[in-house]
Amino acid sequence: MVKPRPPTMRTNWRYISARVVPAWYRPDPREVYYAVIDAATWMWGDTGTAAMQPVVIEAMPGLVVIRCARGHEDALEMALAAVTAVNGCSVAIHPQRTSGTLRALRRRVPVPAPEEEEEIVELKGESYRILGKSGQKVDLVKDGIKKQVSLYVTQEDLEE
Amino acid sequence: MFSTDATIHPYPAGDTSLRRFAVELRSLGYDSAVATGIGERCEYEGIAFLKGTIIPGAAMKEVMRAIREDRGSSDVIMVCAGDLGFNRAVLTYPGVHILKGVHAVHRSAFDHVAARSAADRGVAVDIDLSVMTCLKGVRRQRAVERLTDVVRLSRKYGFALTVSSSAYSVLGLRSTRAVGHLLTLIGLDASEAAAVLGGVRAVVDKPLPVEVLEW
Repeated sequence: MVKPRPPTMRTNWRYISARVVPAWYRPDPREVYYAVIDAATWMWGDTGTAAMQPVVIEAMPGLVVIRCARGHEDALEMALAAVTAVNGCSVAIHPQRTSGTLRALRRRVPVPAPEEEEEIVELKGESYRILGKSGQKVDLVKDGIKKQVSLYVTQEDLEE
Repeated sequence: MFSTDATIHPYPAGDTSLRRFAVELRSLGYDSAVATGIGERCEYEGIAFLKGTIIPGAAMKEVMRAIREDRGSSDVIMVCAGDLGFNRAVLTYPGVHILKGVHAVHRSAFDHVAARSAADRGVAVDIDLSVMTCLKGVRRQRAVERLTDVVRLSRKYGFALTVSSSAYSVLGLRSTRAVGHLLTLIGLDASEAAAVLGGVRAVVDKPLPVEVLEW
């Protein structure tokens, strides 16, 4: 069995939690990893990405946790800003917090609310399915024959 | 310090309502934005929305007609860049606030003469962040190259820069911190990035040539 490295020889990691928009999207960790690697490679090249060592630790609706080598947090945040799609679905990833341990990160990052039952609402004469609600934010979708049409509104917009 | 997104396209042009944009912009660190297609200047959730008009100028006559028809109802008038002669004419025409789309024109279309005109007339040049996030390959490299060139001219001649997400959806917005990071790719440091985020206010609220302080 390989002897573990002494603590001073181990790599120091940084953990970044990031908000995924839209919040109802269920990201596959592998696909998020490919999207992040793609963006990081464009920005920093193969050597820069290799030094960054990005890994997706956790991916759940509305939240992803990504690990990188210490000192490369800003570079990874920059790469996350350039992510526009995961597995063909348009998303945005907004970094929220950075921490040296997963425990400290999870203590400070709010867990996304559980999903609610799908509802149908009427907006300007057309019916939409509510995909997600978070505070004032309401994400709607209309299923068409050819494609889905998304609409991002607020509770106030629906009440008007 | 102001943080303004220089162009967003709310519903019906995009898929996000103005109120939803306000909620998202506030959470991302902005205090104002220029929205196209809205009736007048308004405020939601503490975010001030300025009325913006984009003139896709193919010819100077069209720009002049559009500005005349606007009759000062828009807070910010933006004109899309074209060839060298067009850009020089636009930059000296009164009523134009921002020149957009410089990344998409030929390198020689925005030269030192145009840069000097922009600085003298108080016209800003827009940096469209969507080209850095949405384009791929050679097109993205060219766009970054053009924007780097614009930043270099801005440093030398002192014209204002603005930054826009050109978002049609909440998915196109980026936080002010992320914008600062992305702007470092084209050679701006943190303090310059902060100035660029407040560039719209610098152009809109610019002092008049003659101001009567007391009558």
